[in-house]
Amino acid sequence: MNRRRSIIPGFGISMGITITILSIVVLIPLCSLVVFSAKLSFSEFVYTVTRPRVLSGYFVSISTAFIASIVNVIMGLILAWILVRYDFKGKRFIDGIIELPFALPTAVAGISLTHLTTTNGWVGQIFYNLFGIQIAYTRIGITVALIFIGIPFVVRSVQPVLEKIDIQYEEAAFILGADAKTTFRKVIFPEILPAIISGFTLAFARSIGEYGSVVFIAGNTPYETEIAPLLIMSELQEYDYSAATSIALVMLGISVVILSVNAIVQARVSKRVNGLA
Amino acid sequence: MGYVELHDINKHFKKFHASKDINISIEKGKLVALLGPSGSGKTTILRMIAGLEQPDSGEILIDGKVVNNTPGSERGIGFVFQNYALFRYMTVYDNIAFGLRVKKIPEEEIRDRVRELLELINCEGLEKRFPSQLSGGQRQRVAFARALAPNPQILLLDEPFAAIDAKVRLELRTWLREMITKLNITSIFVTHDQDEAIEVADEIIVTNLGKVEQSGTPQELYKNPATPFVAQFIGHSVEVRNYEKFKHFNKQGENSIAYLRPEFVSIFKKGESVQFANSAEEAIVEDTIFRGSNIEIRVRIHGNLISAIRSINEPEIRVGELVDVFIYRLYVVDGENVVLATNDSITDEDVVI
Repeated sequence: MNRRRSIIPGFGISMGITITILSIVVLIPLCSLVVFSAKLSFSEFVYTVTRPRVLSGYFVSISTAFIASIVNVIMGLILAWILVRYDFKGKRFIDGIIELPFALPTAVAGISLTHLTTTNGWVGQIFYNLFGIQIAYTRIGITVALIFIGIPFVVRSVQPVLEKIDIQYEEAAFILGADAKTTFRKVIFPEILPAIISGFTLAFARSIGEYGSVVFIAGNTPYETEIAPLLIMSELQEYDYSAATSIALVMLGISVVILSVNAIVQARVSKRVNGLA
Repeated sequence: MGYVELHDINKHFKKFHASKDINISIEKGKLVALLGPSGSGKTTILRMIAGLEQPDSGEILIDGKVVNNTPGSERGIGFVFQNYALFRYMTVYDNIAFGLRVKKIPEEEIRDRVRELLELINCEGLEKRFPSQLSGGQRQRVAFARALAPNPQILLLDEPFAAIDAKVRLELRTWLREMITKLNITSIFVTHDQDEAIEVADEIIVTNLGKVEQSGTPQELYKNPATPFVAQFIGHSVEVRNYEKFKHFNKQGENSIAYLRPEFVSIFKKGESVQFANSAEEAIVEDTIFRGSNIEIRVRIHGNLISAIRSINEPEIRVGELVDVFIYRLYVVDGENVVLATNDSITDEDVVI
């Protein structure tokens, strides 16, 4: 076979390094999860991960993450649209600040959000006095923290795709007589839909596992505002490693499912655009 | 009265003056090319006719009506974009049907119209494909069908052949010309390729630096260039400053210069030509370039490197050979005037241009 020279030398070495790094950061921790959980028998495992308190933990985590990700899709789309399509003062500043949730230690975010949204906080007292809504120490509070955590995923997924959309598509639709609504729905939306889905799934997967920013604002009342990652933490504090890893394994399974759904959707969509269907 | 008219159109992009006092009149049913180098404002003119840009001043008339304030979608035009702008997430069928669906035409009528158009563009059976599954030529034809679907009176095409490889481009040129003649639709296309404009268009509008230099049939542009720009732009012109040194040409103005095209020059091997033997220049061949269908020969006369085309069926001429060069005519540019100067030794009745 006629091998072409690549700029990165040695397929063998590069592949070796790739596998090593993947093993260290991904495979070994994941395997240890399975190994620790395997100390339990299957029925013990099922019992551990289906205790009512644990089930309610999954439910709290998934439902708040889902709502937060939906909100993020809408807000992130608007943000990305404004950053791409308009020029205004302070655009670069806003563009830069989008990544703040990535950079800020999640605990700091959690504490400051809690502080703001308690019934005495700046924002919290407005909502409490006007609408009688409590934010901090409720599921609403958890959702708020998850919105904060997830917003960059959506913006950074949609923004580059939106930038690449040729203005000619809109002009073509305009000359053919389509109004703004139809143009967005039929021409622009299909273009950005894959990015929206990928932004949503990334934000969703991240939110389900979010711990640092949520524990402060959640209040951690069992069956009410206790998230699944917190249950793992409390099992660990009781030195029940196998219970902790069992719950973690379920969380891992959920993440894998979410990311697989995303991968399948992306593959379907790119088939159309790249002509492999 | 033209079908499409532009009166004193001016357009600025910030400080850049893209269109300067444009006056154009295009007759119904004509196929017109806007030809010019890049940045000459030809696309801006097209986009203003389409309503994608608004002129700063002046009037655009279609069928006698001022359309400056009519949105592009109500001007009765179809537009084929340079990269076709086919909607990637729609099938060929949905792309062509798009302009009909937004007009709320019943689905059965749409089906008939799309079928009719697919037949017209020879793309039957491709309706379920996505644009990514089409060849460049097919994409262009689908874009053409999509623009035609709502039955426009005017078809505008922005560099319609730019994105297609050379061989298919030639086929498509002929195809497009036939198609437009068959449909008898007033068409305007933008191009920077003069061969394309000359071959396809009934009429050419030459633009340069935001102005219209000249408009006319391809023959007129060749025969009577109105401005110095057209004289040097059309054809593969060579600038000659000391043309009065050539045999049988006289100086026509103090600072005049001349443009000489390969088709105005014949090169003969020694003794080959009897007719022009005495009026020809002697020159040494500097270079020969094989072009497949012909051979370009470059000779130096009075310090000017002049090109001529020779058929591959004629006896071969080699580099360094002494040859006879006969110049039929050249364009003399004196200030803003262009004059066709003919070799005094011939009468021009026996030459096409």
